[in-house]
Amino acid sequence: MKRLIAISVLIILWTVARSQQLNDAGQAVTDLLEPLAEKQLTQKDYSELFNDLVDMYENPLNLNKATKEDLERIPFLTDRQIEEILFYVYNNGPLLTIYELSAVKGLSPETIKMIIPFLKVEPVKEQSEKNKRLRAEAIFRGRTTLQTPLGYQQVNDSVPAPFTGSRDRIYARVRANYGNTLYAGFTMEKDPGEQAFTPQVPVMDFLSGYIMLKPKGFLKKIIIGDYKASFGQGAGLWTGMAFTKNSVATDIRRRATGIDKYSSVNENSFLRGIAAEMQLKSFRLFLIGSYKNIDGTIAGFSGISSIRNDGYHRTRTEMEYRKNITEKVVGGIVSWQSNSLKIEAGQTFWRIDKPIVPSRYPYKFPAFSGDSLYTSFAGYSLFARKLILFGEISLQNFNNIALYQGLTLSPGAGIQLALSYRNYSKKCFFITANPFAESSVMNGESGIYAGITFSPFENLNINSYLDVFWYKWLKYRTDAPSSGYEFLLQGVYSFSTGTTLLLRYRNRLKQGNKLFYTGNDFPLSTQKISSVRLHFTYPAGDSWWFSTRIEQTFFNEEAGHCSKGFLLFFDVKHFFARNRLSADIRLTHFDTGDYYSRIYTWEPDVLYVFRVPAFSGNGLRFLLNI
Amino acid sequence: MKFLLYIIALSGFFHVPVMTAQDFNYSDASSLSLGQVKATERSIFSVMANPAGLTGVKSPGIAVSYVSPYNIRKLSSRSVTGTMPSQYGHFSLLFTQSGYSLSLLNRYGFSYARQFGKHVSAALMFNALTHKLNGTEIYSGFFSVIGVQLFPSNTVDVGIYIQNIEQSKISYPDQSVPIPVLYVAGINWHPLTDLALMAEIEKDQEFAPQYKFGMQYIPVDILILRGGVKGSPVDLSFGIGLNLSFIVIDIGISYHQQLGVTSAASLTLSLNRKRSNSRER
Repeated sequence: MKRLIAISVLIILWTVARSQQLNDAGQAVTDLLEPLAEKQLTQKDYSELFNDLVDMYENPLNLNKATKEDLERIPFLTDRQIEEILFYVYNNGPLLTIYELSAVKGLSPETIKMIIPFLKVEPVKEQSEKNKRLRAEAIFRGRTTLQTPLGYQQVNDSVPAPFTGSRDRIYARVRANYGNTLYAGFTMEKDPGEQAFTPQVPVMDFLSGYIMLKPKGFLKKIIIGDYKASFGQGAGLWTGMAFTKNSVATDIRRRATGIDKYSSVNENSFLRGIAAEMQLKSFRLFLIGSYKNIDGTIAGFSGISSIRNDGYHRTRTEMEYRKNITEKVVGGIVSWQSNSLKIEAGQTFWRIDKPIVPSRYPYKFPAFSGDSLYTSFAGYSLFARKLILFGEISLQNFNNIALYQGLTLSPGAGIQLALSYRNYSKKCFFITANPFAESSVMNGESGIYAGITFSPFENLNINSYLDVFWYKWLKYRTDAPSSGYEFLLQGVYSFSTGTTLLLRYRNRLKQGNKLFYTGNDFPLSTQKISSVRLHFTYPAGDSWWFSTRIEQTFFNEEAGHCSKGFLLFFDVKHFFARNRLSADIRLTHFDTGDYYSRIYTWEPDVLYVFRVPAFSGNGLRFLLNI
Repeated sequence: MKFLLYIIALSGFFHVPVMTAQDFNYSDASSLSLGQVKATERSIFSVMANPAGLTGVKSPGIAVSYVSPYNIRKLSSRSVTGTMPSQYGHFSLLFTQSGYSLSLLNRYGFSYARQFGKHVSAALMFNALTHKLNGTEIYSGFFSVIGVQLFPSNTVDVGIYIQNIEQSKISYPDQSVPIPVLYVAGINWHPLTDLALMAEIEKDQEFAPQYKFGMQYIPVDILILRGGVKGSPVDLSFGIGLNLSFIVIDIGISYHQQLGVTSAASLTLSLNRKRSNSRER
């Protein structure tokens, strides 16, 4: 029966079709998420960030009522643009139409087009009436492969298939809300190869649920079940995903959302228990408590060597590690906010029932070991008219410091500047934190980032950043302290609304162990990856959408390995039946010398699914998405 | 030995001793002189590259072209094409022959192109290939071409075409030889009525990409000047066009660093008009 269900939704099953507007937003969020995908190779789901957008799409913000905190949830808006919108509403009174946004200083037609799906304009009274509606949504998604991959085939009579479960991916989600007061949801998921409906896994591998209440008065929010917590700049407490460097070069200030319901399927980036938010005038108090089982790689009799965060439980070994550690987190955060200043400070305590034992690998010598972690943190954001200062410092186990400081400046003439400094102790352990960083393993990293955004003339927008970073200790496959930099220069020319031509150059240089070296010493070599991207997007009328990308990468190791990569795709999307149905055809040709010159690119998928696969080798990929 | 003969024979078609799409080259004289940019071409010769450009032809016409790669007669190709615009779209036929008596490759093409609104044109083309070896044995293949041209503004055209997406092959007794799979994307910026600048990237599925750049300038209505450069090794080209009443004559020359000079000449006969529109490109 289970198989029947999976096969019946063989490729894609959707009962809900959305309008073209979400497509525009999805395209914009692509730019934000693609760099993230290149660093978080084990990340199996980007829907967490995408879901936030979908939430806003389904419950658009009323501009006449939106606060700064509300607008900060829209990732396409810069801090400066948010200030200008609020300033406009304050000066001119409630908006009469959404198109009045074109009168707001600093909002380009492209930006307005991207944010319109998430905004609406209504009188405040009407809005309150609509808040009393009950709304529910259920989504079921199945995916499988027609061929049986090797991992699912029995090796021989005595050796079973490596993967213990079926090759189907199954996802189901139910969400309901009563106005803006009560929210409840349930999510379950099974990855390919994982078991479901078996004695070991009675339902599905990942089950998640929440109830969130937003009463009026002192208690602002209470969540029972799974939730995420994000504060400051991510150096102290930030579960879940967060944007890093991206093509919006000055978008480096994190916009923390406090506590919020969790409905994604990343199996380790959330807290499970109870959380509450209380407000008294300008003060807010957050209390969190979490208790859940997580995966750890067993080392010795009573300890673990590492915490596993890929969320996969497909093989017998992975099943042995499944939920074999108990994790507890408690904490409290206090914040104070005025129109121009926000200050917050907090304390968390993290504990597991099996200690992490010191590693025998030199690159892990300074890494965290033990079973408990105290984290104290404090942060601020200061909003002057053209200057925003922000920063955070966190102290782990009263000894290890993580520091992040930054500023953005809008001196005028459409120019925006950003500058930040980070310094994370090599003993830091970011198990419930996720600060701005170059590497996915952030301990021991320090760096300086500088970015600029400007428009030298009408219709042309330039973004550029330079990030210089150092590592105080060894890293995986880097057997000495190392350094590097990343540079990006991107120009986007808009012919008309929606028609854009993008040219991007990116150059990343870092040090690592010399490739294919078999000697007994461990020399470092400089590895440079450059890429040039040309991307053209053209919406022809209301029902056609064309997109073409050409990207070439160059991998060069100093006096060593070199390879080139090339990717080209043509994308045509057509909307039928008053935008209720769309068909997307993509043809991708990729030709890379090897994995070092691989190219990442976002691919169209069913609604609410966001994928950024890496292409390496030589091939042609044809994709039809209806 | 037989396989070697096939390869040598095919070189007459693909211009080099191995089958590479970079030289799957049916350029007309105009395209040759523009560094072989083709994706944004909008003339009767679009049928030899991006057939979507046929929608730029406003009246029925026929054209012939002769190309002599590196001035080696045995590699030369001869083409004749005709197009017929109608209210249902543009229909076009193409016949090209290349090679010599011991290895003669014929291409028969039929294309259908249509304009969708003001901003999009698209085309589909079917091609049959026959390869006659030693004057007796005939082997055949089939491939298609999909082309799109976009016109986002009055000064910018974008062209895309894919050749042999189905990855078909010519079947010989001992083996099958793939027909090159090509992905081509190009842009044409014409800031002035008389000036056009073109850039294009062409990627063979099996080989490194090639970059091409072309420039066209029309000093007087009767005269068209063209120049271009094509990827590595650098291939420089230039040419002229004469727009005489309903006849257009194009001559193009390109110089390859290693292989020498390629020359081409084309003649276009347009019906139902007094003078060909030399600014169609």
